Parts: sequence; C-alpha cells; structure tokens
Amino acid sequence: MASSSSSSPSPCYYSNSPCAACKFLRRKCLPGCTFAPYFPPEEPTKFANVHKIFGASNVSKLLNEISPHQREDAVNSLAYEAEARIKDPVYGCVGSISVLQRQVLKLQKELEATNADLMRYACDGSLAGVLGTGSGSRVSDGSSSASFDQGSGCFVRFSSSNP
Amino acid sequence: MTLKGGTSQACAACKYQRRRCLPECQLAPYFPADQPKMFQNAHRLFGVSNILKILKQLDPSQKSEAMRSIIYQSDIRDKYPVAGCFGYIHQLHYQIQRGEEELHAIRSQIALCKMQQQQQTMGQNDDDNQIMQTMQTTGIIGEDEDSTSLLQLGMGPPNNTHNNNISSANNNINNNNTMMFENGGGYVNEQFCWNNNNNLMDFQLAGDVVQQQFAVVVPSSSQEMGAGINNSSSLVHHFREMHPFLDAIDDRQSFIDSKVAYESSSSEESSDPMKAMDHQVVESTDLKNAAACFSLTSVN
Repeated sequence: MASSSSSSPSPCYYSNSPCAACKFLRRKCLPGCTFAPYFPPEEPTKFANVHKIFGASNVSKLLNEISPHQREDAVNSLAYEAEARIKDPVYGCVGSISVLQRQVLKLQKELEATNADLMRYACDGSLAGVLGTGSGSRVSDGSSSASFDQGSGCFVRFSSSNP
Repeated sequence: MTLKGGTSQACAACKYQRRRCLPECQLAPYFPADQPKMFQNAHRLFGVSNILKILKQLDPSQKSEAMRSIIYQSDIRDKYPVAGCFGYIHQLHYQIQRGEEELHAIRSQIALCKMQQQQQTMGQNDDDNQIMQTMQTTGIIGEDEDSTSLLQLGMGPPNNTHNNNISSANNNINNNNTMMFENGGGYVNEQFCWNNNNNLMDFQLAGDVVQQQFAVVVPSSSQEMGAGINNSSSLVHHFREMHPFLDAIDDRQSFIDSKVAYESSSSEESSDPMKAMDHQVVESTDLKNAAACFSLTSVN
C-alpha cells in the first residue's frame, strides 16, 4: 500500500498527481500533506472508504497523535475497518471479531476435550503397561505433564502391591 | 446543563456538543449522560455526523446493534490507537492458528497412543505370562520401587525414549516393554528423536546410575541411526557392537542383563559407565558370558 512512500516524503513532491485524499477532496496537494504518504493516487478507494466512515478530519487528528513510524499501520488498520463497515454497516469489523472470538472459544473447548482424551489414553496406556507388558503412552509436550504423573502413580501402586 | 424535557439530563452527545437534547435525539439512547468517555471515543473516531449517517441507512431494529459495534470499535481504537480492531483481529487469527496446530498435535498423539495400545494388546496376549514369570525369576518386581524413584527423579523419559526407538527398530515389543517396565516408566515418548550424537554422548558421559541401564537399552537405537552415531566416541562403537547381542536375546536373557545393569546401578562403583560398557562389549558374542560379565561388573 503506502509502504514504499511511508519513509519518504510525499509522492506529490515528485509527481504531478495529487494524493488520493487531495484528489478526492479536490484540493491542492501541498508538500506537507498528511495523507500523501499513506494514500497514493493509485488507491482512490482506500481514502474514499476511510473518509466516508471516519472522515478526513478525524483521520488527520488520529495520525497527528501517533508517531510517524506508526502512521502507516494506523492508516492501514483504519482502511480495513472502514471497508468492513461499508460491507457490513451494522457490525463492521466487530462482526469479524465476534466470529473469531466464538471460534477461539470453540477451539478452547475442543482442545480441553481432546486433551482430556489424550490424558485418558495416556493413563489407560500406563495402566495397561503396568498390568500387562509394562509399556504405556507418554506425551512429551508441556500440557501433558499430568499424564506422566498419572503414569508414575500407576506404577507406584503396582509396585506397592507386588513387593 | 441542558435539560431534556425539563426532567432528565442531556445525553452525553448533546452535553459534549453543548446543545439542547431534544426528545427525538437519535443518540440519546446510546450515549447516557453518565458515560461521557464512551461518546468522546465514538466522536473522535467516527464523528457524530458519520454515526448518524450509518444509523440512517439501517432498520430501527439494527440500530442498537450498530451502535454497540460502533462504541466497541471506538473503545478499542482509544486503547490501541495504531492497530485498533484490526490488531485484535490479527491476534485472534494467530490464536486460532496456534490452537489448531495444538489440536492437530494432540490428535496425532492420541492416534499414536491408540496404535501403541493396539500393539500392546497384541503382544500382551502372547507373552504376558512369560514376562511375568521372568520378572519373578529375576527378582525385577522386587526392585520396582527403586525404578519408580528413578522415574520420579526425572530420569525416566530418556530411558523410554530409547526403548521406543528399539521398539520401532526391532519390532521386538515384548523385550522392550519388559525393559521399560523394569526401568520404571511405562510410557513412550514418541516425539523425542534419538538421532543426535550429542544426546547420546550426554547420556554416556553423565556418569549417572541410569547410564548403566542404557548400556542394555541403547545399542539397537544407535545402530538404527547408522552413520549418524559412528563418530569418534569409542562408546558409540560399543553400542554398535552390542546390537546383535540384543537382537538375539530372548526375554529371559534380556531380563538378566537389565537386571544386572540395574543392580550395578545401585552399587557404589557403578558411577563409571564406560567401564561397564567395556565389560559388556568384550563378551557381547556370548549371551551367557555377557550376563556373567555383568554380574562381575556389579560385584566389582
């Protein structure tokens, strides 16, 4: 997007065409244009969306409050949010957040259930190993340390019953 | 300041703009007077006119939800002026990606556990009685408490890692399971790969009691890895030479060997694993001699 021009001065300095913001607002793109580094003339819809949802004045104020090296990220996030709000006027990007949060919750539950399954298998394997051939299952990641304890617990019980 | 209908306070929007809050004020339901910050955030990001434009194009039933999302989005932008909701969405995407990877890993573990249990069940039916008999004969069962203590000391996992490799290399599950049992950990660490020379050397040079159990367990895995392990260490060659020794061994003999290794580990002079290895390698061609050698090692 504006990455090529973010660290350099406004492209208006070197080209005749004004930035997308100035073009849209029908004003002269001056050398100190706040929008020029982030709204190149090749992407007119980017500014149009942002202006429609947030307004050029608000965007300008927001950009002035943050450090220059963060402005490009801020503009890109604003452009994303504006586009989302245009596509979904009711929820905007918050709709995506809601969907993703539900997905995360579902995933967490699934992870818990799957972890419990794994624990059960690990414990069963340890039991079978102790009572049978002595081989069970062992999981190596940090989340499964309890299975190790269970396995050793099973072993302790077995050895105490077979002095 | 301005009273709405003379009885209630002006909404935060009207209060901020210093105008009279009329009964038909569109923003009044969403910006109560006692939450000025909420309006300020929304006003700073969207502006009153843009909010009203958004509300204008919506059904009355949707307005409440739209205002909720606008207020939420504005609050997030206030907290994170650079990334805003976009940053949070990124974070959630990353979280989901990590969660899915973790889920996939756990499912793989479960599949492996199932597979191992099936293998155990198959092997158990054939040789369970024989193993138990052998254990009783060699007195392994009586030493289980010590083995457990080793496991609790955190020495179990490496043992069983090697056992797992042996299991996969030789398909001699009964022997290996017996040894795993003897070593005190009834589990298999399938993610730990025994393909690192440094790991091998670490075990050899540690001078730990557990090392002598490895003396019996490691060889097949070291040969399995082939050229990866045949570096300058003489002990590595010892391990390699011991491989046929383990291949040919039957259940009982494996117990004898491992039992002796276990005993030697409990002796005071067992702190020199290299010495024990030498003894084992010298006699590796004859199983009985090897067993006798271990006995001598443990006595000495």
